[in-house]
Amino acid sequence: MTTSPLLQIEGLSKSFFMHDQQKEVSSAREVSFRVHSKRLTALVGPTGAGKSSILKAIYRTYIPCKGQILYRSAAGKTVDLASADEHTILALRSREIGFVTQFLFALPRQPAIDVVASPLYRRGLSKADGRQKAGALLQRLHIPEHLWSLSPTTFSGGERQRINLARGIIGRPRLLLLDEPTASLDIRTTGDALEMITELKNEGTGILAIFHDPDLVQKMADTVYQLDRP
Amino acid sequence: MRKVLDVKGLSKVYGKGCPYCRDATGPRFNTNICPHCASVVAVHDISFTLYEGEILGVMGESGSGKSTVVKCLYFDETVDGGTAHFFDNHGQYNLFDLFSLNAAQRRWLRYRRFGMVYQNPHLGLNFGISAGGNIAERLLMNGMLIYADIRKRASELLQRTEVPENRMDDLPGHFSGGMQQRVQIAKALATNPPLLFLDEVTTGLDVSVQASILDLIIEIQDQLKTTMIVVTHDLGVIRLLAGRTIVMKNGCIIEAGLTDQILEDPQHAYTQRLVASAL
Repeated sequence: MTTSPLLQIEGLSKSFFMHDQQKEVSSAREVSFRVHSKRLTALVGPTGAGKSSILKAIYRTYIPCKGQILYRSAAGKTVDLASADEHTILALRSREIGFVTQFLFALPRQPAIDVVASPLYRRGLSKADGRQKAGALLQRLHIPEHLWSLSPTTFSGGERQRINLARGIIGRPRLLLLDEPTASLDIRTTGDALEMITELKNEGTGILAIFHDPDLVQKMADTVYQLDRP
Repeated sequence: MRKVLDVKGLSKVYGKGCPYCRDATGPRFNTNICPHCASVVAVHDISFTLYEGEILGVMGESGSGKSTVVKCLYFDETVDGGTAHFFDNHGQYNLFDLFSLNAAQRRWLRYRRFGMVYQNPHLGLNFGISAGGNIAERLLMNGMLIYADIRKRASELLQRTEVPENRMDDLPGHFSGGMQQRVQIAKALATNPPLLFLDEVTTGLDVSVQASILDLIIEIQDQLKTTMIVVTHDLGVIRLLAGRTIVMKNGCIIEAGLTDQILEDPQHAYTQRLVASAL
């Protein structure tokens, strides 16, 4: 029995043309795979195999050169993320598709708790409600409460990564893209982070993840997709 | 999502113009000066749409035509071609063909539905009257006639933009550059306009003052959901404020896309150079 996939990637290729050197660099070639709701799909492969590029192409931070990225939306429509217009992508980003990148980008001078709650504010939630939900997540991720009002730019690498993860999870996206979400966490906080990712998955989110650690792939992935250098 | 503005084929030429102007200028020729008649094609065939609550960044170097675009939309400049439709929902769905309006209709849009903040505060503020007076002027034009109401609203606006209330009666010329910008923003917000144009509003200010102005813009967008066009040459401002970005060169749009895509996967040679040379 197969349910229809949440995300279906067909023949995706991405290359970059560097004008100043008149050089084309390929980062992914003819990649096809599927992501299902309630499952975690892991992308594995050597550095330079294009794992991060694929996540960025799905999120439209990169413009795919070839192929289709078919996403089944909450409204039941199939949207090709490779060619959908910008406003469609922005709407999906704010309501359905989350991305936890390797590095945190947040508005400067914004308190950590508001950084985490920002996806909820964008959907119209009040500051008080948003902060309450964000606080609960930060507590679970062991970010000491006296740091919540500070900007994450002052935080350690591990703390920043947890802020990033909390912000990605808080909106309960239908599709979550994770790029090494636990790379700079210690064993205890890694365990907490993984627990939260699993919880989200069990609630119905389809997850596409890159983990640096093969043990984590083993432990977390329902499906593994192997990539080779293009 | 509701469409607020729809611009198609906007063009503006300084000079007498000739039939070759459009085909002999642009990024391909790396100039916007026509070799046949020496006219300046400031803006050529600019099209974009804007949705409610979004911030569109317009990026490009000096002379790329980016400021001319907002000046045309705000009727500071006349246009030589193209249309712009503004969609408004107060009461009913109104449709304007911006560039074919008469003077009174333009004034109405300028003073009631649009706001503009210029890089040079002398363009946006009357330096002969107080900060409060500048705001009062705008409110009077909107039919607010009771002195106490005007004063109350002006003080609210200055408070929101963090201009000390006790300086309300001072002349803008006695303010610092950052504070002049705040007064300009307060004035632009006076009528709660659904569409705000910001033209290089942080250029030339101290970094810390820039930061506080940007924070203010983010806060305004957050609370009032004002739709904005932000013109800047500063990648940092674009990254911070804009969801989508247009890149201009020699009067033309060379690429447009989501801001993170423009910054991480720029397609055009010029944008690649621009992003690579960011400090």
